[in-house]
Amino acid sequence: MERNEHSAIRAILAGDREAYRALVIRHSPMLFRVAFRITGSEADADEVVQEALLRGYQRLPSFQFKAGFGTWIYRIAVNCAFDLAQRRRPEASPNGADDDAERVQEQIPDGSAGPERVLLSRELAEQRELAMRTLTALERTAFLLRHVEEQSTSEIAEALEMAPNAVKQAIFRAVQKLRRRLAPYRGMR
Amino acid sequence: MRHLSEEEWVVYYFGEDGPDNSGGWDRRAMQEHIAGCPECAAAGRELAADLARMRSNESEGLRGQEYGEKMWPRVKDSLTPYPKVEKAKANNTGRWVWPRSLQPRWLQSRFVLAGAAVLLAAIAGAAFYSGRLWEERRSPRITVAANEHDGQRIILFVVSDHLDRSQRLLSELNDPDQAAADHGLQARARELLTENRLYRQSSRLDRTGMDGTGPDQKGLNRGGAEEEDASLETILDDLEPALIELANQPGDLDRTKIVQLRKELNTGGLLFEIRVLRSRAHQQEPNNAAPREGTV
Repeated sequence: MERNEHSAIRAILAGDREAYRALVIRHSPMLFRVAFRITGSEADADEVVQEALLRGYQRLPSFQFKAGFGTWIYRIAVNCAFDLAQRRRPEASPNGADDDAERVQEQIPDGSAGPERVLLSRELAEQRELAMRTLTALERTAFLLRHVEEQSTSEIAEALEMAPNAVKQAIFRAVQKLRRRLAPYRGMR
Repeated sequence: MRHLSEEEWVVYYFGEDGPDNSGGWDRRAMQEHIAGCPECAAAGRELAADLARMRSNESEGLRGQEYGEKMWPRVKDSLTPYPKVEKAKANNTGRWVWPRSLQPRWLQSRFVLAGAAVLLAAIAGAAFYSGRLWEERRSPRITVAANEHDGQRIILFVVSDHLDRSQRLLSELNDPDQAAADHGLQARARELLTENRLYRQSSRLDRTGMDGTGPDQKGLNRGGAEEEDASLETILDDLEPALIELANQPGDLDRTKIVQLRKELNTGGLLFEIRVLRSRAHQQEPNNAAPREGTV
């Protein structure tokens, strides 16, 4: 598959724009997935995919044929998604998490069976999303890439064009904030 | 031995090895400590449970291959094709190369190769010159027709960049939100308008004949080239009002205005005309020499 992709890239660089179609079709779903996780919005994820594919096309002359196109375009998409997330929410409120955590503690139902459990898991999903919103763009991106996308710290650092230590710190801060925020739900799944 | 801090736990959980990554702790030392410390083991289980809870719904954000199919038309028009190069050059593999071991020794000498190149160039030059003399004596009309065909190609080549940029500008109008956000759109329309006027004038002069002889006296062999001239002229004529409207709109263009302009100016039809002309010109590229060979 990688060899086919490399041939497609050579064809594009030789003037065959249509050869890019196969790459777009194959990789767009994966790009949407990561963009959606980082931005949290379908419309934004669409925008990111489009931008990443355009940037990728323009940067093809710098593509190193040692790596796979998927890995390469994935990094570009992460970078685009991170840029967009930063524009959308440059800083999250640091105290919001504490206030909300207290409010959540009051709302938790006592029982854990039947319809209440369904309600609880829905509530948990909502709270998880709210908790994610308290993170800065960097914390959210680094955490999701490490925890959900299972990328290594160095891969994340490369995609975000940052030092690995800054990424590690961001992941730690994210975990700390999220744990504090979701502490009232501990033991209930 | 002290207990693991939260930061060390996070490092441990995500498997970042090495003493530098774990605050001076060695991963094996951490494992040994956890095995012998019920407090730390409980803290580890709690962290793992918390992190499992933080995984969002895995099915969210999933798209099938049809998503890529939908995405392609959205990006396609914004992609400018890279300049065409020969396949062999692009792949760098299709070219025949003598294996070094099989190469004749005389072929390996650079001086011999350079000498051969000079000799071949001289023969080619002489053949070209004598061919031209012979051709001029035999059939002057054919030469005129061939030159005009070349002229047509040169015009198309020069205007091609202008058409390419106009095409991109018109394509941008298909996405009114993006077009409204592009503050340089009107400036580009003004630039293209100036160029368009120049090309229209040149095209007219070329058709009527600079020497005032008119098209009828220039030979009867033009056929398709003249037809293409007319298509090019029509497109340049149609582009002009669209560019004037875009360039001279008062204030910034908003979404509603762009949608309205797109309908009024029939930009979709214009785009189609440009694409047809460019693809026809492109298709003719490999057969450029045909009329010359066929008539001799």
